[in-house]
Amino acid sequence: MEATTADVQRFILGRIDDPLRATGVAPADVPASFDLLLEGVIDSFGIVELIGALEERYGLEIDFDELEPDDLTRIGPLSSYVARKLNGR
Amino acid sequence: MQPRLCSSFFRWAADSPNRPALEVGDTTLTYGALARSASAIAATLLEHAHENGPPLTGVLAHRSPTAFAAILGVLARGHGYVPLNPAFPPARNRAMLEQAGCEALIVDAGAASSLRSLLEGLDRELVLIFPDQGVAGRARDWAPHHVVGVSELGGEAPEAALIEPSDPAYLLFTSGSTGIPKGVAVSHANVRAFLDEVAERYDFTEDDRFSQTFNLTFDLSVFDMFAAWESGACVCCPSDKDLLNPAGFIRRSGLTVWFSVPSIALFMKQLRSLKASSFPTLRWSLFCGEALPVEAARSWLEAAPGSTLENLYGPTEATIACTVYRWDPVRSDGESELGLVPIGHPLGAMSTLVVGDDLREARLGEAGELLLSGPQVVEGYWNDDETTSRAFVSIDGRCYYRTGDRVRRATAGGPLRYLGRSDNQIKVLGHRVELGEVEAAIRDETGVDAVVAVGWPPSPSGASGIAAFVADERVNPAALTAALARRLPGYMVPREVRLLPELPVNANGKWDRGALIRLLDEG
Repeated sequence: MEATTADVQRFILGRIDDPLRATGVAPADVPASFDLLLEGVIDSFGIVELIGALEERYGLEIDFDELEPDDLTRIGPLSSYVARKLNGR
Repeated sequence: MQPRLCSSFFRWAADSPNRPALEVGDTTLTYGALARSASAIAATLLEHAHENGPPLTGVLAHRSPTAFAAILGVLARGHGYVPLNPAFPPARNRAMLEQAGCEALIVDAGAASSLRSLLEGLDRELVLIFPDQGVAGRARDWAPHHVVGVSELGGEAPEAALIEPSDPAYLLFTSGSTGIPKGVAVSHANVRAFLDEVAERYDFTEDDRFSQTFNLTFDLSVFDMFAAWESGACVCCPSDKDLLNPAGFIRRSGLTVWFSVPSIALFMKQLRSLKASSFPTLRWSLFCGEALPVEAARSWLEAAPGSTLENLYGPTEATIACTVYRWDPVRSDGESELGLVPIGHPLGAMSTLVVGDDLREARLGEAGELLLSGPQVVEGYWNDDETTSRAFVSIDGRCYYRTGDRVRRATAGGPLRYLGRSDNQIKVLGHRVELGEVEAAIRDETGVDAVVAVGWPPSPSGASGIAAFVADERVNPAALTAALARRLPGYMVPREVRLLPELPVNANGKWDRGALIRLLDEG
């Protein structure tokens, strides 16, 4: 499967639509630097669910050691990591 | 006179001021620097002391250098500390502060924004101390409270305050089934008994580097701080981000002592970050706070094969941990039950008693409620004789704390095995939750009497969250959840609220929790 960073980001936004709207942010206004954890959109339990969903959707294994700690919960870097991994194999 | 909880810390600070005591993010504080901050806070507290209320001071802070300096400063001033979590709802923190009777509150910069709503309607005037912020020109903003900013902090280290062994070292609050959190005051004698056993059991040295995974409102954080500082070791605090990738944190910080709830190990296992031999620096892998699944222990040891793994057990009322089990690759599989690692044997002078409903001792190998007795057991709940008389009982002239935990009594020389709870207390990601407290809050918000909360979804060590059932289909679940989030900590707020026309009852006429859980299972 191939996917662009934008595809992955759309997929993530679709998963977090409800909590995102609850914080008063429209999906279209989410910048790449948007931090899902710090903005209160998901907690650590939500991260596990999201990672599981990404792995299932794109058929890959996400390795936390390949990501900077800060990038783990930022929507842009997380999306581009998934896209890079998909396209690099 | 027994040494105070903070005595060893200050002794290390005097003897080896340049050793690292604390790492928070990129900041390293030496024993000397942390002791200076703590002494300034202690001097300030003494300067503004009223001496009317109980010997307790509040600390509203989260894993900042100021949070740790405040705890040490409160202890040096001769008070017990009352930790408040800035992420908790303000009303809950306010109730704790009022129940404790604190007259002073230390606030770190990160918590200042949550302070305003905490103070709304507070029943007393406080001395507010901001050790890492200036308050010039803002004193009036906080009226009628008296404020002290960084530039007004006292300088001279006070004389070591005189304390009695029975004086409180800290006051924590645990979930209460009636809807009101219960205060547990742990004395210097209680915690000294625990720390002396720790010193005997483990070979901690000043070269050790301890994890600090527990929130300061959780008594296991006392181990993180004081087991380390008794040994001259360094406490390493993960950021909230680090807690999402604890494996990276362990390696980056070169940790030698890991101590956490089993949920973190399970979380890491799910994320496949427990890779073979990936934690070569770890010497001790310690777990506590909830049931430890065998699979979590085994996976952890693959990642940290050079470490010794122990499962500790203990309620706040018996001070941090009072039984312990050392994992043995040959023996432990056979000793485990229900897929859970045993909780082992009593520490030091603590003793255990397994009893049936009639409080008579269970036979060898039989299951029953675990009772605890010994120097780590507290005297009772804070200002609550009624709850105390239910939970603390006298048997053959000894005072026992009834844990409500079901265990299997050890057969000759074998370990105690944890089987579950005998009531509606659960562990949500290691946090102790009385489902009755969640239900009381829902009843209060909705006016509906028929309410049941259950742990959901289940995890191998307890539950990952809470689901609630309300017998009134007119309730708005989203509004209810939002209202609960304003009064309960996040882990107590139901992830799912289901509305039913009525709730099922079992043959005994009680709510049929099993049937409700099956409903959740069905999706």
